Amino acid sequence: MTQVGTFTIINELGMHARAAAKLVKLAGSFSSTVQLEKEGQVADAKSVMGVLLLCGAKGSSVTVRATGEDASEAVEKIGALIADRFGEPR
Amino acid sequence: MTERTSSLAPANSIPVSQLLRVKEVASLTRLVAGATGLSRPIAHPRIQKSGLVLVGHSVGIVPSRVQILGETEISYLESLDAETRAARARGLFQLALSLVVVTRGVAPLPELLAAARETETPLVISSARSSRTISALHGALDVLLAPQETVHGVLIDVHGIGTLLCGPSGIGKSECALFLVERGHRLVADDQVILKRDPSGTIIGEPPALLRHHLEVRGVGILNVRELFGATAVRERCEVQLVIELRPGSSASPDRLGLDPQVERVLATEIPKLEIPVQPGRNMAVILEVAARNELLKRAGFDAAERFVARLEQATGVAGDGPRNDSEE
Repeated sequence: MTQVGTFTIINELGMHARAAAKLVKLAGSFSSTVQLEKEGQVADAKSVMGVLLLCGAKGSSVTVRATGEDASEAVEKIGALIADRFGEPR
Repeated sequence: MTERTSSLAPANSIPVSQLLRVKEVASLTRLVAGATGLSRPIAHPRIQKSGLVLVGHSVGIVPSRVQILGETEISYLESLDAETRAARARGLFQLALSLVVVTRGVAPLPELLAAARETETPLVISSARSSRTISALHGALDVLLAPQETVHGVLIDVHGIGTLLCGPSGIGKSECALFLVERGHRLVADDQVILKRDPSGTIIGEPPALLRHHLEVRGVGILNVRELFGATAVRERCEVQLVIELRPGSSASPDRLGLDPQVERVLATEIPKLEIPVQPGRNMAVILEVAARNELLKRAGFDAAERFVARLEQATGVAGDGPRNDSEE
């Protein structure tokens, strides 16, 4: 089963190193394969380097695509993390 | 199936400005008109000579190829009266060309300049003769327009064999790379590898600029391999000569003999491929190193598995001159 969701990065610093690490850690907790896509560039959401390479700045739009048993939960939780500014105040 | 994710579309077109920025091209050329058209696309790695358009035959002209006007074409234009010359120049530039290059530093005819301005077509003067200009353009276009894709994996030069490690996240690709670097091999790219196909079909791999020299190891973090191990531990790019897919030990059904070579198609080029199961107690660095050594031997014409089968045939008295790989018959 594949689930897709598109989210906008809203925190001030964008998907910087710590934020990316949080996202990768979260993605790694699901058995589904999870991919992030930004402007046609695709990265494995479980790989720190790949996610960092997307250079997701504030305002950019990121698509989460998960395939597997817990796909819908993965998309939902990752979307929530992005919407929560990766837990950052701004 | 492999876990390779393609992320960059093949570069099937580049803007004119990008071509003119290439060092070898920039040193020969200067833009004399049509700066507003610098975003026009170039989509072919080969130039076109547009001489026949000047006599009114415009069949086969591809606007997204670089058009070359050499000495012959210019001298033909010069032989015309001013009115015809202007009409012929307009006829050429009206084809919505992406870029026109006049070679051998000839000052551009006013009619060409006027037509270029009118149609906002970039017009460039090259200081070199046609042959040299064309070879510089072809060289630059071959690189810029090479088909490419980005894959998830690790590229490392093992004994001179560019080895691409693939496999799911967490299987230990980066750790394998670290072990191999420790043993004196050279890291090219960790995690994201940009693969390009050159005109001869060779696949060249390199890291995205941001990640160059870096390696991420779980529990340790992001490492700079060049700073940790020195310049000999890294390479900027290398040819991909062997693909190794690392698989979880439980899901793999590995080749036990090495008699049925597999290949992986990378950008339409076939590259030898091995599937290697990862299990506790297997020293992956040593296995990968041996795989690269074995590939080197095969390239030198020595296939250990085939030689072994020949020995076996001799020992069992079976005729050894049949095709070696249909042992099922």
